[in-house]
Amino acid sequence: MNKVVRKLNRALDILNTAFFNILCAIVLWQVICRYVLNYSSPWTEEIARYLLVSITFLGAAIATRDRSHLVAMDLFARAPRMLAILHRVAIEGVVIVMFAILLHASLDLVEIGAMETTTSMLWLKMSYVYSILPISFGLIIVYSFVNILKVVIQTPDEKRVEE
Amino acid sequence: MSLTVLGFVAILIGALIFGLPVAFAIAFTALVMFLLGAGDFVSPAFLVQRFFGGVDSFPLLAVPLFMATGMFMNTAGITTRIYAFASDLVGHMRLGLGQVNVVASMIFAGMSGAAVADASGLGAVEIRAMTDAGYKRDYSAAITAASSTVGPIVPPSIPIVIFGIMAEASIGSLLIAGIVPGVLIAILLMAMNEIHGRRHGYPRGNFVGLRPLWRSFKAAFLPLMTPVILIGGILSGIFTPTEAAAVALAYAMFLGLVVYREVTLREYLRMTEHTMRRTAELLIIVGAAGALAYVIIDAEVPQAILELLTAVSTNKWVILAIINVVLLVIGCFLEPVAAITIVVPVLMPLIHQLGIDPVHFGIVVVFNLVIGLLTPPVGLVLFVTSKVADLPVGKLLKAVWPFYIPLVLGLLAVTYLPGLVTFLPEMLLGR
Repeated sequence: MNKVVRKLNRALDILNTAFFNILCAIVLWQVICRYVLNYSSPWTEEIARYLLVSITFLGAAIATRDRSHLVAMDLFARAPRMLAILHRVAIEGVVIVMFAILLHASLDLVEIGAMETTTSMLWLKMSYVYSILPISFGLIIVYSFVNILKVVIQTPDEKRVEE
Repeated sequence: MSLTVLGFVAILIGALIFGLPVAFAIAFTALVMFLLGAGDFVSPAFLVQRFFGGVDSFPLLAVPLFMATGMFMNTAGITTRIYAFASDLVGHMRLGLGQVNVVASMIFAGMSGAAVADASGLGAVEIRAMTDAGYKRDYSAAITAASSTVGPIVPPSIPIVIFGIMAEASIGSLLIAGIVPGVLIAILLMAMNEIHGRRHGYPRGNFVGLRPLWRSFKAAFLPLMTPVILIGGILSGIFTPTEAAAVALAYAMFLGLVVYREVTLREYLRMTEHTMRRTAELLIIVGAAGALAYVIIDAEVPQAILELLTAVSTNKWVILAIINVVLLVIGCFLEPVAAITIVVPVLMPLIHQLGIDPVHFGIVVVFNLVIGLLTPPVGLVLFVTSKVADLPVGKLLKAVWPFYIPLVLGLLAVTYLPGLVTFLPEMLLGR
């Protein structure tokens, strides 16, 4: 089970890194098209923007998992362990509630997006583009739950080590 | 002050102190204000759309491209070449390696858009060279930290791109406008070195001669072309900043993978994954700020701030002084990009009303926030340098604080002599 989860996590990293590489290639391709081949392809700019959006939102889920988001201050870093755990649980709790609301709202947005297409690729409905939001928000919720489980379950282990 | 403004500030600061990640604290504030009735849209789906829209921007693509370029230029082969060239150029001056430090950082700033990158990669080279030559570790680390602040002011610059997007100002002009203030900081820091060197009796050295200088210039020539491509690309008017960034990245990759063959495939993948992560951590803040900006504009927060500040004074120089003080405080707690995304939408109506040039204002804002990178409690450069130099933060801080003097002098000059900032873009881009 643990192994499967680890592989899925890694797959997410690799997918988003691939998005990043494709993004660089597309922007460069656009420059070559415009200035060397002298023709402008309308879809490159739009695809590049959507890739950037995917990188950002999936990356936010990755950063939630790895707890690498930028934080302004961590007043509880040196607090007694029980207090630090409670604080962690409270933070992740707020994140879960907040993203549950945003997840619900993003599903509405996906539904609205079924009525519009992207500007340069008429076959691509905005629904598909918007769907990166509920996916990422869902992942953020799952990872926040995992973060809670981690701090709660880890405690007895750490205590044992100390003894 | 109106209740809305107080509510907005209280929710945001509360969420940040509570310890929510900055991006989520911003999104939280937007959501709470929306639920309390700000924003005239019917469905929260539109709030989420603003979140999406905050990132859905072509100019924003310059951010990951700049970041990756900095990373590819920050490899040993390139940083040591730049360092060797700077060393032959100014190493003979009093407190020579301190001057080399400033010049090398200045050159590197033309390739990298973030101060932290400068402090970690090139910074390690600089500190090692200085301590090996018998310079004090704390001073070496302090000048490294101080000189790395040039990074986000000189193009390429990530905070400046973000400012341009939030303020809807010309990113090309803003980037070019950073050049003179960047050189100004370098000169002030070099003057600081000279004073320190005289006081502590450091000797002058001998100039290595033109022939060795030419040799080290040739060795560093290919990396030195990166800023030329970038700035030249923007100035030519052919490329947009994003396209210039893409070309510079392709060039940096070419140097790393083909010319110097320092970057292996494995290393390449590690670098792009790292860039992907840092990009997401930064741009999720920008996205959340897109949602927040919409809500606070609808709640007329910028209008209230405008009325509040113009009630104090209608003189733009007085108001700029107030803004400077507020930004310096904010900069102590927030990373520059985060601070820009929150503050700029709030202040722009005021800036337009007072007739302040957005390009001038942008450089003032970034300069201000960059000083915050050197101050506790959230000084990123301070922490990175302390790690690289293996020096406790407290000790480093003691050596760093005298450098606040040249930096604040520079800030005053940039604030009150707008010509310093605006003449170069006006002359070259003819806005």
